[in-house]
Parts: sequence; structure tokens; C-alpha cells
Amino acid sequence: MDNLYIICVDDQQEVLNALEQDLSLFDEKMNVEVCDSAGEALELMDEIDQQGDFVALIISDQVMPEMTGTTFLAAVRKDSRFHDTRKMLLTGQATHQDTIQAINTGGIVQYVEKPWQKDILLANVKTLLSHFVMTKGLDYQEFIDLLDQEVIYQWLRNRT
Amino acid sequence: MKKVKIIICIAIPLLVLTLPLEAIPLDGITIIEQRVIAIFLLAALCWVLEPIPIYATSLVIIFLELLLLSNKGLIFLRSDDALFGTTIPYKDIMHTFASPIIILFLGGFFLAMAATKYRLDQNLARVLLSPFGTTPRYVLLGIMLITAVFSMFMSNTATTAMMLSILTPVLALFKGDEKGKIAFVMAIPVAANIGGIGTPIGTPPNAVAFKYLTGTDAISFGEWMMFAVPYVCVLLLIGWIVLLFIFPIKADRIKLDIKGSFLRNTKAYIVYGTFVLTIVLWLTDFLHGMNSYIVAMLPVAIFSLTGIINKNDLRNISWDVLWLVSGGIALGLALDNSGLASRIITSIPFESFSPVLIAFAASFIAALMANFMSHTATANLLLPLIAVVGSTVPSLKEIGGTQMVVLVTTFACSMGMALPISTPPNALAFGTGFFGTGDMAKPGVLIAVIGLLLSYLLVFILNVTGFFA
Amino acid sequence: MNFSRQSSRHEAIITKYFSDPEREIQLKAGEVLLEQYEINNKLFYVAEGKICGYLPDKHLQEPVFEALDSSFVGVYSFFSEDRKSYSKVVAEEDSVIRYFDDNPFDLPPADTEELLTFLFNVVVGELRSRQHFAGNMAYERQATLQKLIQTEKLATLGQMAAGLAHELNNAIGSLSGNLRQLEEDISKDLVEGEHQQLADLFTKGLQEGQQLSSLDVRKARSKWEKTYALDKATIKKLTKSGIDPDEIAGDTVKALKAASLWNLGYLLHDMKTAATHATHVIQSVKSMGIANQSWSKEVKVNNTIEDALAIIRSLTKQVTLQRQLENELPDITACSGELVQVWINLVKNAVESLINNKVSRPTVQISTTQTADQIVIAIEDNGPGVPGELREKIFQPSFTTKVDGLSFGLGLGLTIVKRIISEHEGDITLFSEPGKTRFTVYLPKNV
Repeated sequence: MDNLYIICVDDQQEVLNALEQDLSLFDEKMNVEVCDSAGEALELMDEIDQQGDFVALIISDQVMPEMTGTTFLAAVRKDSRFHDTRKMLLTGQATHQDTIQAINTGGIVQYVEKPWQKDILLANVKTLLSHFVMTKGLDYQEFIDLLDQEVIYQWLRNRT
Repeated sequence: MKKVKIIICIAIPLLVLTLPLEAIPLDGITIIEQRVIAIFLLAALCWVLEPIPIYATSLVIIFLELLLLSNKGLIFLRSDDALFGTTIPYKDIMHTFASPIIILFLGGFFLAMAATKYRLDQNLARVLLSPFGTTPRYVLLGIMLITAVFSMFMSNTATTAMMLSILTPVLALFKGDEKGKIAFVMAIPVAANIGGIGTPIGTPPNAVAFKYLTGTDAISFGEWMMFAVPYVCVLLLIGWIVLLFIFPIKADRIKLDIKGSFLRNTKAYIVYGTFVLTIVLWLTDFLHGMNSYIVAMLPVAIFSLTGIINKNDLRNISWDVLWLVSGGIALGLALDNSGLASRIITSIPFESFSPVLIAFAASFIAALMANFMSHTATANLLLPLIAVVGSTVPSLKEIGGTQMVVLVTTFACSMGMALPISTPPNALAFGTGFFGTGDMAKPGVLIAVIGLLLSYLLVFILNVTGFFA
Repeated sequence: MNFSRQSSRHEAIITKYFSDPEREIQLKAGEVLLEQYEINNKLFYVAEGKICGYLPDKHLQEPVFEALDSSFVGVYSFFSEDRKSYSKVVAEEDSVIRYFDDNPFDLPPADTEELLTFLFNVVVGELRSRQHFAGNMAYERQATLQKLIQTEKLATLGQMAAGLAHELNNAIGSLSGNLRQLEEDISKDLVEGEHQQLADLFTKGLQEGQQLSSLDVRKARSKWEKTYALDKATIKKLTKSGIDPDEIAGDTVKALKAASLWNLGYLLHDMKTAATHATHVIQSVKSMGIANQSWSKEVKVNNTIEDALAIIRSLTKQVTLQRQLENELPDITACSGELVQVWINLVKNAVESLINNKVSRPTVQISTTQTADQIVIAIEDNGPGVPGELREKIFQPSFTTKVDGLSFGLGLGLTIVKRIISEHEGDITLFSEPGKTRFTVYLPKNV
């Protein structure tokens, strides 16, 4: 079974805990990891890659000390090991500029505003995970209950 | 322009097809053979003019052969007439899709894909480059050696892409008028093309050649490497000197920064192990009796069952390259089985030519063609005919026979590297925009000529040492 | 018209026509020289004092003209057809006025010509100065109007802030009240029904929250994973609680219970922290408040700094913030809301310049100290500094060095800082060199 990781990055512990709580259903077949800084996340991703496992999704805050979410995601985007990793910006305070930058340099595909609503967050996470699993050609049947059926159908329709 | 090409590609073969048999200046030619000529012309025209992708031409060849030549083709295209000739079993034509050569290549693809996926290539490049220090001359040599070694097992294109991605960021730091930049960029396609000669799976022409070296002419994987690798090394050294001579490097330091570390997890270890095991088995067939085709199934099996290569990766296999080779094999099959090849060769008074001249001419034509069209297509067109020449012209026997003439022709197929359109590696290097066409032609022509001469020296030595006997 | 060129002639004419002691009027400040629409046959020369003209029928407070000494009044009415004064002319100060009321054409022809030439100059000069005066008035009026609009906006914002603060405080009050009740109830139940050790875990979660960092948790997790065959979520909770796996002694049921109890306590802890934080932010906004502009004699400077930092916490996250606040500062007389604004502006400026210039290891240092009669607040950053030519201009209105339009929305720039500090009878100075920019604010102590 392939080992998939969802990595949440925020400098506030209460946010991380709330995220972990909301994402706990993914913990059954995948791994939800929380990091309180972008630096820690990068190290963890390195480790995961060394083990031959996959970083499927990064959910990052924008306003953090040391490294902002955008800078962090841009660094990930440049790393060929994580080309297929999906990225989500979760933030309560990003300016127009930040958002544009996050899309252009960070390659984010989803923007969720704080405070988030659990069902919307879960739906978004499922969609992004589905894209990752299908891009990587992993066995989607293993994770079928954690994925977005619509996305799976779309991918499978184009196959022989 | 494209329309004109298509019309030429269709009209000429059609013309040949509709000619009365008597109009063709070959004694005793059959209808089947006439059709083979038409198909061969179609293939040659399509591969040279490229109105359609080259792999598509291969598929067209196979389809037309099934239609016009096979024993299960259209019923009113068949006949029992003596003039009609003998049909080819349809299974034989279809078998070209899964010919052992194709399987050998598939094994190579699996190895290369797993190596890339588990970053073995990049990590090896990092480790192998470090002994070459930071003096630009030696770094250049290191890059050439590594590129050559990789292209022995990976496709020349993939190797070039990887090495260029490592190199371009460093080259961007060079001063604008520095000629040395060109040396570095040119070194990669040159080394990739030369390196491809090193193993039977290094480049498709080798595989095609392997196909025609059967029976008593058969060469094992290990034997191929035994003479090809030294040849590659010498030619690389010469190429290095040529590049340094044409593009002197002024910079006194170059530092290649390749990031990463060897992956340490179960799957990565399986990749490393399988890689080593496959190569060892390929080189030691005299010990275990498995030929290289069977050994090639080892990585295919292991990587599939461990999920190292998954369904998604299967889609990334260059099926076009495999089918291109299949088409070539099918073309050779038709030329051979119909008897056309020997009819043509015997109708030309080769006996009266000097055998050395025949070898020169074959390799020269191959190198010339390879500069303007795909190396594989060149091999596909030339090798079936050359193989027959080798076996039917007695005077050739003295200087190495089929093996010799096939080898020099095959090596010559890899010498097409003077133009950006010659090979995908050349196109990639040209795409960096660091130099013009002239800068590519100068070393390309020079190294190719030296390469040809060196290949004559090689077969001479092989002949003297009794390898061909 | 250049009078100075003809000043000797000018003086000669004044002496000749405007020096008759018979025709002199002494006015006390506030006395009226001419009523509006009064018929006037005199041309007045202001020898001393200041005369102004008003338009009572338009209910305008401001004068329409001013005449200082050595200027003329009544020019328009004297030369007009109906001879009516269009304004009410009043002495602003005690003034001495001399006048001329002859018909110029009754004078000898040479005198007539001399006088008329002179009067022509006077009329044109008068026209020019009145035009100038009117222009100035219009400009001032516009400026006042803008100030008024700004004040009105701020006042609206203040009212809104106050309203929001009130509503939010109510909501948070109810949340934290219920939270307290919940806490008590659960604690009581636990102490009565459960094992003491487990009840302690709940209290631990409630009081301490999560002490371990995410990295520590990941490192410590493997020990739990080895000891207990539990699901990942439970293992995570157990690890976060910081208790030693050996304390549970391999009892899986107990471990499950421990995880959920600690987590319950911890959730309540987080909610309490969040509520406290929200309350604090609201208080800070209120105290900055445009809503709270009152002056007090007992303002603690350090508190105003903390309030400011609480409001812009998410901004200062991006830099290292160092506080060196002296504990023993005396209270001062100040408007705390305005001081909060000053600190917000200065810190925000520092942070933005650090971020926009991509300074490595961005640091902002805030320190308070005191001298015999002043409290000294310094805000220092390690940014590139303010270039010399800009240092003079930096406190002027509409001056900005911001690269992009990023704005936090609360401050109105260094001009406001300057204004507020002068209102507090303090001073602000700027020291700047590459790698070090320091704003120092001096506020007087209570006498």
C-alpha cells in the first residue's frame, strides 16, 4: 500500500490541532502531519521522500515567521521531487498581492479562507488528493472512500 | 509543402505497384517482390521526408505488409500463380511487435525508468562527477564519460535532457563571449550519441543490427560491449580533444551543483539491486546460458511485481520507439522472406567490387543518411540489405563478413550528429541557444569522420584477432 | 504696481492729502467705521491698526478683506456710482484713520492729475490684494473641509469599532462564561466518577494545553506506537499530552480513555486561549480607539505599547520582535488611544520596510527608558535605513517610501505620529544608517 502524506503548516498550534481534528478521517489510510514552521515541513518532506513515500498535499498558512506560505510553496514548486504535490493556501489574512504571488510562484491550486468550514475543506482536500493519486498512477481503489469520485471518473474516462 | 511530400510518398510507390512486372529490371521478380519494393519505397520516402511521424510509418509498413503480403491478406490480392510468389505468414509479421529485440529494449526502458524514478541517474552523476574536480577541462571529460555511460542504458534523449538540466544553470554563469560554453553544451549530444554505441540496448540501431546478427553471426550482449565499450572510450577521448580544440575554455573554474542523496528505502534498494543484477547477467550469459532477451525480462518482471513501475509509468514508455523498431524488423522480414533482398543484391555485381570499398560505401551512406533522418530509420532501411550483402558476397568473408559490414554500418548510423535535426539530443542542445548551426556542424562532422575511421580500425583488429571467424 | 519704487512720492502724497488732523478718526477695537450699504463719501487711509470688512447679510464669520496700516479703505464705495459700502467695515484693533473727502476735480488741475494718478495706483493695488486675499480664503476653506471629512470618517469608524467591540464582547462573554461552566461540570464529574490519575490528565490538558512542538510530537510518537496497538488519532493525542507511555502501563483501554480525556481538557484550553485572545484584541482596538480619545493622567506607556503590538500581531510575526520595556515607568498624562496609534505606525513602518527590502533576519526592537523628566521610547529596525535626502521630508504629509500599496488601514502615517506627539508636548527624532533605523519618541513626565 502506498504511503500518502498530507502536511499542514501553520505557526499557531491551535490552528494545527483544529486542522488535524478535521482531517482525522484521512489518517486511517494516509498520514496527516502537522508542522509549526515551513522549515520543519521541508525537513519532514525530505524524510518522507527518502522513505519512498509521497507528499500528496500541503496545506499552508500564509502569515508565518521566518518563511511566508508563498515563499515556502514556491520552494516546494521548484523541487522536482514534489512536482505533483498539490498545494493549498489556508489563510485569514492574505492581501491581493500575496494571493497573486501564491498562484504565480507558489503554484497553489486552492485557496481556503480562515475560518474554514469543515465540509468545504474536506471536499477540497479530497479533490486535490484525487488529482494527486491519479497523476501519480497510484492505486485509487485503496483510497476510494477518501477521494472525489467525480475527479476519478474524469481521469478514467480518458483511459483505455 | 506537406501536401507535396504526401503526394510524392504515395504516388511513387503506387506507380511501382501498377507497373507491369516486365518493366522492373530484375530477372524472375514476383508480384510479392514488386509489392515489397513499393512498400520499401514508401518507407524510405516517408522516413526521409517525414510527412508523418516516423513511428506511424512503421505501423503503415506493418499494416500494408499484412494486407498485401501475408497469407491472410485481402483474398483477391492473393493468387496461386507461380509469378505471384510466396506469401508471408501473418503471424510472422505480427510477431515483430513482440520480437525479442523489442523485449530487450523494453527491459532497457524499465531499467532506465526505474533509475530515473528513484533518482539513481542523478545521484550517480553526482558521485561520478566529483573525482573530476572543478577544472573545466576535466569536468568536461567527466560530463562526457557520464553521459556516455548513461546513454548505454538509457535513451540518448533522456540522458541528454538530464545532463542539460544539470548543466544549463551553471553555463548561465559563464561570460557571454566564452566559447567554452559551446564545448559543454555540444559535449552532451556528442557523448550521448557515441555512448549509445556501447551496448545493444544503447540505441535502437544497435538492436536492429542485433536482429540481423543471427545464427553463426550472433553476438552476445557481453561480446558487443567487449569491443564497443573500448571503441566508445577512445572516440570519447578524441571527441573531448576535438571539442577543446574548437571551443577553448577560458574560465578557470566550474562548479556543478547536483543536489540529492541516494534514496534509502526498500524499493530504492530493489532498483539498485536489479540494475546491477541485470547488467551482470547480460555480461555473463556464457555462465548461465540465458540470452540477453530473457535477461531483459528480469527488470520488467521485478519492477512490475514490486510496483516500482506502475500503470502510470507504463504509459510513459516510448512505445513509438519500440514500434519504429518493429516496423524496421517487419520491413527486413519482407525483404528477406520474399527473396527480394537477395535478388537485388545478386543482380548487382558486388563480386567485382573490392570488399573494403563495399564496407566504406555502406558506412558512408549510413552516416550521411543518419545526419538527415532518424538513426533508427536509417538502420531499418539499410541493415536488411547490408546483411544480405554480407552473406552473399564471398569476398567479404575474408575481412569479417556479415558481422563486419553490419557493425560498421550500425556504428555509422550513430555518427549522424552534424545538424540540429540529426537526432533529438542535438535538437535539445541546439535549443539551449548557446550556439549556431555552424558550431554544431564543425565538431559533428569532424568526430563522425574520425568515428568512421576508428570503426574501420576496430573491425580490422577484430578480424586480425579472429573474432569474426 | 510697485509702490516702493515711488515710495517717496507716495509719502509725499500721503503727507499732502491724508495728514489733516481735522480729518482723523480714532477707532477702538470693534468699533464700526462703515455699516453695510452706508453711503460713503470718504477715502480712508489706515495710519495705524487693522481694519476688516464683513458681509453681515451673508452670515459669514470670516472677513472679506483686511486692511493693515498704510493701506486704503472705502476705495470701492468712494469711486462707485451709488457710493454705497458693500461691506461692514470694523476696526479689528485700535486704529487711527485719516480720510480725504474733497472732490478731486475741485483741486487745481496739476493736483487733480497728481492725485488721480496716485489713486489709480491705489485702486489697482487694492484690487490685487483683495484678489489675493480671496484666493487664500478659498484655499483655507478647502483644507478645512477636507480635515472635517477626515475627522468625520474617523468618527464613523470609531463608532463602528465601538459597536463591533460591544457586540463581539457580548458574544465572547457568553462563550467564555459557558466554557467556564462546562469546565467545572466536567471536572466535578471526573473527580467523582473516575480514577484520579485520569482526572488529573483532564486537568493537565485544561491548564497546560499542548506543551510539545509539532516536531517533538513526531519524534515522541514512535514510542507510543511501539507500546500500544492503537489507531493513529489516539496515538497522536497521547503523544501530544506529554505523558510517559509507561505511566499507563500497557493498558490499552486506559490509554484510550487517557487520550480522550486529555484531549477534552486540551480542547477546552484552546477555546479559552482563543476567547482570551479575542477579548484582548477587542480591548486593544477599543483603547486605540478612535472611539476612546479621552486624556488621562494615569496612562502607562508600556501598556499602550503592548496594546499596539496585540493589534498588529500578525504583521510582526514576520520579523523577530524584541521588547526591552522598563518596568518602573511612571504614569504620564496622555491620550492612550493616540499613543497606541503612534506605536502601530512606527512598528508597522519598520516591519514593512524590512519585508519590502527582503532584509535577512529582520528584527524590530522596542525599548522604553526614562530620564529625569522624560520617558524615552525607541523603535529600532535593522533595515536599509532612510536615505539622507528623505530624512527631512519623512514627517511631511503624503510622503511615502512604500514599494507597493500594501496598507494595514489603521495608521495614517508619520504625519499623524508627529501631530500626536506634539499634542503630547513631546518630540520625535530619527536616526538612520544602513542596517539601523531608530525612531526615538520623548514624552514629558507628569510635573
